Parts: sequence; C-alpha cells; structure tokens
Amino acid sequence: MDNKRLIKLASWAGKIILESGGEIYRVEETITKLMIAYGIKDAESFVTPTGIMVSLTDEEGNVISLIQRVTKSNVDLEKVSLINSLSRQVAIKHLSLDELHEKLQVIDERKPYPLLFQLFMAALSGFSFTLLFGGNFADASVALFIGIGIRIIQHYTREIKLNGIFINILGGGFVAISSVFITKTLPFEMHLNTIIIGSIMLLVPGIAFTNGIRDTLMGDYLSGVSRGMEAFLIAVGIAIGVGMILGITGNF
Amino acid sequence: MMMGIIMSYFASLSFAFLFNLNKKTAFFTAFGGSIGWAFFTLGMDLGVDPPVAYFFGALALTFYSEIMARIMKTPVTSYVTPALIPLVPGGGLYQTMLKSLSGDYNGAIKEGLNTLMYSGALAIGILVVFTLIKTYYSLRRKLEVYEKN
Repeated sequence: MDNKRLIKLASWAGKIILESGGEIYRVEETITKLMIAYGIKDAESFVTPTGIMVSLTDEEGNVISLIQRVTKSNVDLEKVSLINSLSRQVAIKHLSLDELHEKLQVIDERKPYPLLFQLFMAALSGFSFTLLFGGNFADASVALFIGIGIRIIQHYTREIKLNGIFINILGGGFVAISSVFITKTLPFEMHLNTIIIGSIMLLVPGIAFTNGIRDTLMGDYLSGVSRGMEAFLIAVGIAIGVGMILGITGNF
Repeated sequence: MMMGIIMSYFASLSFAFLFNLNKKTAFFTAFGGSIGWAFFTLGMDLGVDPPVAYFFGALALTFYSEIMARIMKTPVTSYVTPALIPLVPGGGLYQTMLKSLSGDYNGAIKEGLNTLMYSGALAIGILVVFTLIKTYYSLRRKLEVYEKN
C-alpha cells in the first residue's frame, strides 16, 4: 500500500470539503475514515478553517504527516455532498487509489451553474426577499435588478481574490447607491428601506453562521469562534457599505 | 401569510441554487425555508416575543432538514443553510446601522441588541434540534449494542 499517496488523496478530499463550505468535524471524519478504509490503523487529522494537518502511522511505526493550507473558494454544497457519499462508497467497496484519485479529480473540477443562471437566481432572491419583507411590486422589481448587480460584483471580485469584508463593503455600497438613484429618478411609489433590506440578503453570511453553530456544537470551539467572527465581520462590512453611501447622499 | 410562505420558498430556492445544490435537493431544501417562515409568522401572530418566534422557526426548519437529510443521504448543512436565510435578521442589521448613523445611539443599541438576540434565538433553535437528534441516535446505538450482548 502506497501510504504517501493515500495521505495526499485523503487530505485532498478534506480540502475540497473545507473549501466548499463543509463543517470541521466532517472534514476530520472524512480524512480519517478514508485512511482507515485503506487499512491504516492509526490515522489522525486536525482541521481549522484555514488549514489541514494529517498524520498516519504504518505498521512498522513510521509516521507520515502532511500540512495543507486552505484558502476559501466558492461555496459549493454539492461538492460537500459528493465527497461525503464518496467516502461512504470507499468504506463499503474497495476502490483502488487510482480510482479514488480519478473520482476526486472529477468532483474537484465540477463547475458551478453557468453565470447566467446564477444571475437569474440572484434576481429571484432580490425579488422574493423584498416582497417577503413587505415591499410592493415596484420595490421588488427594483431589487431584482440590484440582485443581478450584486451577483456580478461578487463573481468578479472573487475571481481577483479580493478580501471578503471588502467585497461586502462594495456590495453594500452598490445596493445603497443604486436604490437611492432608482427611487429618486423613477416616478413610482417606492420604499428605499425595503429595497435595501431585500437586496442585502444576498450578501448575508449564511454559511458562516450555520457552520459556526455546528462547529461549536461538535466541540470545535476554535473554528466556531472564528466562523462566528467571520459572520459578524461580514455583517459589519455590509453595514459600513450601505451606511457610507446613505451618509454621503443624506438619506436617513 | 400565504404570500410570505410562497416568497420564502423562492428566497430559499434561489439561495440553494447559488450554493450550487443539485436541482432535486434544491427544490426540497426550499420547503425548509417555507416551514421556518410559517412557524415564525405563526409565533408572531400568536403574540409571543419575537425571539421566541425566531426560535420556533429555527426549530421547525432544522427538524425538517434533519429528517430530509437522513432520507436523502446528504449532509444536513445543505438543507439548513438555504432554509435559514429568510429568517436571518437583515432588517435589524439595517436599522441598527441607520440609527447609529443618524446619531440615535439609544435606538441603535436597542436595535443592535434585538438583532443579536434574534440571531442567538436562531442559533439556539438549531442547536436544540441537532443535540436532540444526536442524543437520539447515540442512545439507539447504545441500545442496539446492549441488546446484542
């Protein structure tokens, strides 16, 4: 058995989950489960939101360990789910390391939905949230276009790997400036506040919030705290972005 | 109320797709959003305190998510995260910011504390269900081991 290759593949599987928005305990469990499925008796992993550490002891007592730095990429819950079922599969029927490598490659290279479809969904999100928070039809139609704008900003700023908080300041600013502009120019009866609240929901830190809770519950306090902090900072970023523009335009 | 339930369905659905879930899971996930919103508005209509209403909403949607995740064999996060989004207190966040900018610090603190309380209520709602389900399964496993011996 090629242990060096195994530890690489196992931590790769963990990395995919962590990048795509999985919980810490799921990453740790997947890594150790994978290694145990290949006959390793002594396997350990320690994962934080930004890095993975794995070590494996073979029968002769040789220790192999590996550290992997993980940077955030796009949230992709489908990848988490796929790796999860892959690790179950490995435990039941024996895949060779080559097969495992192939399957991981396929999952890792999965593309998200096409941008046009994402924009459509962002539009739907802005539209339905504005109606949900008591806006009228005109408000919702404005939020629809703002939603599309936010998604475009998110898409291109993520591509150039901009800092997460700055993206949210930018997004919040965009929401405020476009809703102020539209409500001032168009002659319909519209509510500035409702449009803004409906549109900023697209920026809200949903993944960080739920994962923070789950990590805390599973005893991973370190990542629970850091994800809670992330959610808080994202919220502050949105508030700064919106507040700055409303302050400049004198709209409160 | 009906309008809210339909709109929260679409709001959750859009987020499920933005989180890249496959179509089947996304359509089921979005029902969680509706269920959470329905219980939340039900609580508000019954006249309980808003944090309690948020707690009810989170309780209901997490329960639904846990059951669905076990039936469909997908991680629970894929269900909880999109379903939770409609309940996230974005309005409170906005009001806090608005009031602190306009110099109304008392109002800002009040809104800020409320927002924190709502998020806390959501967190506790999710936590309670997670813990209950975990306890149930570990008890069942223990019972199986006990019966075998």
